[in-house]
Amino acid sequence: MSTEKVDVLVIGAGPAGTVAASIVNKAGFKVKIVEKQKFPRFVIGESLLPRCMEALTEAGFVEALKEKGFQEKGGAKFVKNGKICDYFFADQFTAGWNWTWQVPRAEFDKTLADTVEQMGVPICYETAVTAITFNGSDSVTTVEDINGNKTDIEARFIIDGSGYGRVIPQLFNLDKPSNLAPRKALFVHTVDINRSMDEEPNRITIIVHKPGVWIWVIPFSSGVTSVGFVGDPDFFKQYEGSNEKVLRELIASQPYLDNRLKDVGFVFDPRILESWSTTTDQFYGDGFVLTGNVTEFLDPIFSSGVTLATVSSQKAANLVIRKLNGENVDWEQEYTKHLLQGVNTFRSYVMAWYEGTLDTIFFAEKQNHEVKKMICSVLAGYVWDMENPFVKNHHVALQKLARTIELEMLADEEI
Amino acid sequence: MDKLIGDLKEQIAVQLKLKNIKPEDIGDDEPLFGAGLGLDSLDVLELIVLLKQKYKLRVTNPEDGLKVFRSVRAMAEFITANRLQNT
Repeated sequence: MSTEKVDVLVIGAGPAGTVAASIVNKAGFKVKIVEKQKFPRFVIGESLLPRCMEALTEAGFVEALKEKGFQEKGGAKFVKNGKICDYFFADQFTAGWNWTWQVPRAEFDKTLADTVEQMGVPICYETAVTAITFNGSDSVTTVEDINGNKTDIEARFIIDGSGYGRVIPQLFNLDKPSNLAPRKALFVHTVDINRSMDEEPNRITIIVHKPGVWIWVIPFSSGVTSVGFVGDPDFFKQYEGSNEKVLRELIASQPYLDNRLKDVGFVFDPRILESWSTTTDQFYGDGFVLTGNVTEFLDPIFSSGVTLATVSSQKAANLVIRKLNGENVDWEQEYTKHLLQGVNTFRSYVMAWYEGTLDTIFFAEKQNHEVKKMICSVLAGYVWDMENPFVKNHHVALQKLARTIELEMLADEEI
Repeated sequence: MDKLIGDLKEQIAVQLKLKNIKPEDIGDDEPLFGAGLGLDSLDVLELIVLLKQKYKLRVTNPEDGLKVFRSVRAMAEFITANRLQNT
């Protein structure tokens, strides 16, 4: 078995891994990434939020991404029974980025990985972690490539950005169930030949299909559009047959989609993803930190996945640099608490979405512009701005607002 | 008037979903807002809707609201006065 030595071993070459690797590498440390799969590879999570642009900027990825000509995204559109609610990131409470991208992740992730390699961080693809031994904060990680060759990697620190792979939580039994109900998604990439500019490709469209069931429509600059139905697993039980048959039937049952996507080609056989919400007891330990989906993937509804992944990695990378420079780091305060502030804000919005509270707010007849800007900042991923009451009081602000809207409607009714 | 005050206390407790306060704990003249029960602007709306649904009375002017919702007794006086007016 061969042995090598690095300062920081990063597990996973997705956005979480590459952002962390780039930032630590720039600070002058020796970094290596191991990735179980071969890139490019398919993954969902195609709509980004403006807040992640800050992490991508610090990682030095924005120029390479701009060259790819991905679809720019300036907002989100919610649709319910023909009613429309628009959010534009340019019109938000927090001062920050007002646009981002919608990306086929195979190409996006490959771009980040190639860029970080060009910066001098080697990536070993098709290489899986089989064991990790810690000695204080130093560690020895055994990895195995596709040909069965094993290598021991000595590292001063490990950043685990393994996403659904959950490498460290599974090796050390740190997993625990999320408090979110299990949900299922059925999705495909469509050849969107009927797309018109009226459909405004520069944003995500979210369609409320049935209570608790919604649809994402994410146009890419290639002319392909990603479409997915998400809901309670029971909702899908009434449909029988192949994934393609079920998805075509669902599209036909939704007037907004039927017009546009009837009989269009599918780029691949529709896929299913379910029960994605798992979390863990601890986000860090002596010699390691977890970033991205490995901490907790909440739900696809607000496109928070890549943003939480890259922002947690940005934060973690900077703390790892301080730690390697011999400074003291209060991981509980500076990492876990900070990260949970953002995760729990999104969690409140995910719960309010499935409870119907956000329906009441999004589709209210009267819209308060100042309040709308505050909610827009959450939808833009600015979930650490404590000046925003809809961030600071996320657990009650939406309930209060929805109740106010209901009461105002009651108060306005004729006696 | 006493029956009306008693009814109102019950209705306020239900409408505002008061958890730690029983209807009989609300004083007749206790301020509903600020230092008293500590109700907020959302609760004002709840009370406006309560008056509308139970007593068919409209409070539209915010200054009226401040007077009307000063205490349970003030609410009862407002209801009594306006009921007389309406008949």
